[in-house]
Amino acid sequence: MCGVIFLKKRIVKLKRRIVESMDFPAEAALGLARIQLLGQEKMYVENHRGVLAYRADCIRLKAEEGVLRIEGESMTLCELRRDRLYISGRISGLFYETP
Amino acid sequence: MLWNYLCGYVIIQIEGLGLERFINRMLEAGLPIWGIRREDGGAMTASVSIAGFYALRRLIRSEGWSVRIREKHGLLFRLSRLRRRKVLLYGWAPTLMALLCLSRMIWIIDITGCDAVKEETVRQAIHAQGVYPGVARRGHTVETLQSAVEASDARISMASVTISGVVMRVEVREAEPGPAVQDDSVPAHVVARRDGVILSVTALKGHAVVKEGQLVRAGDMLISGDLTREGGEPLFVHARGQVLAETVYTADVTHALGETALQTAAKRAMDEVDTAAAIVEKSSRTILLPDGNVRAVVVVTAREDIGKTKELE
Repeated sequence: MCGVIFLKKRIVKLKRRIVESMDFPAEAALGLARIQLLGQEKMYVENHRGVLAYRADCIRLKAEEGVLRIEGESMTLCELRRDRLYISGRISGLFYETP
Repeated sequence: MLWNYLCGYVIIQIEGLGLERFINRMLEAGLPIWGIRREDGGAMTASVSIAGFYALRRLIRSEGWSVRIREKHGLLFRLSRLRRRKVLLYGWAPTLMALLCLSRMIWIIDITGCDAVKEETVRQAIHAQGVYPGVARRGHTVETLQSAVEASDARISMASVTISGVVMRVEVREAEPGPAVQDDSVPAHVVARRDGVILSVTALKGHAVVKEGQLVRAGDMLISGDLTREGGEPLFVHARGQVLAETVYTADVTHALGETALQTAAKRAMDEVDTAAAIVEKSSRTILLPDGNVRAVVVVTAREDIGKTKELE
């Protein structure tokens, strides 16, 4: 079990090194979330892996690199697609939750 | 947004626990969902397409969530309201049919240029060719119609027929009446057209029988075509010449009190004056009659040729 996790981590590291050496865009090759903020009112997330929690003041999104927590007020999920989503409202904070 | 409106979408309200899982299921199934909003009570509203809504009902079957439609948006829902109004929904078909059928016929026959010829004769000539309002446009050649119209009356010199849409235009050109032919060989006198005082006589043929200052009445002989000398052979010519005379036109109108008496009288007098006459003097007088009416007298003095050719028997 321990060995499997170790192997996984090594594969990720190897991938990262290859991507960096070849100068690939990381979001495409590694599946990292790509986030765009428009002021405080709009947010555009690509490469998400699903919605974990949704309340008007807090949204938790699953991403490749961990859990992304967005805090704000009266937030709505304006558009929701398999790989991208669009939040509007009053965004006050953006955090990565360490597992 | 426009696409969503055209296809139609519904705003649904979902209640239950773990609604994030609902969102993820929609995502996994690839069903578009937008405008997700958390209500205060914990329920959620979201917009889904109509197709998405039907698929969604299968997704939530075993989960204990309740889904209700809050609002319906889109063209489709608006159109579905028409379903009860069958005439409005299907009426376009007979309307289009009627429009197509009726536009293949001639409905209006517009005849222009008829002056001396009666419009009715032209209309009848066309009708004889089988063209009348309500007849099919096909099967008539413009050329035959034109020649039919031209043949209908001798005064028509040319006719043009054009069909534009449901209107048939018939343009008639009438022949100008030629100048009156004067036959100089026929013996004739020049007589007075109307009363007048002779100003001058110029006889081009024949001999003048009136003098300047003489008063003549309508029908009096002015220039005689009879040149027979005493005891000689009878000799007649076609008398010609100019006889200038002063003529008088009067109009006498009695009206109830008002302005119109004078105007009517003036108009009536002027209407009578020959177009070739030169007007010398105009005078008018209005009299208030004891019975309250107004009498207007207009006198127009003119100078004109009063000669008229009169053939001998």
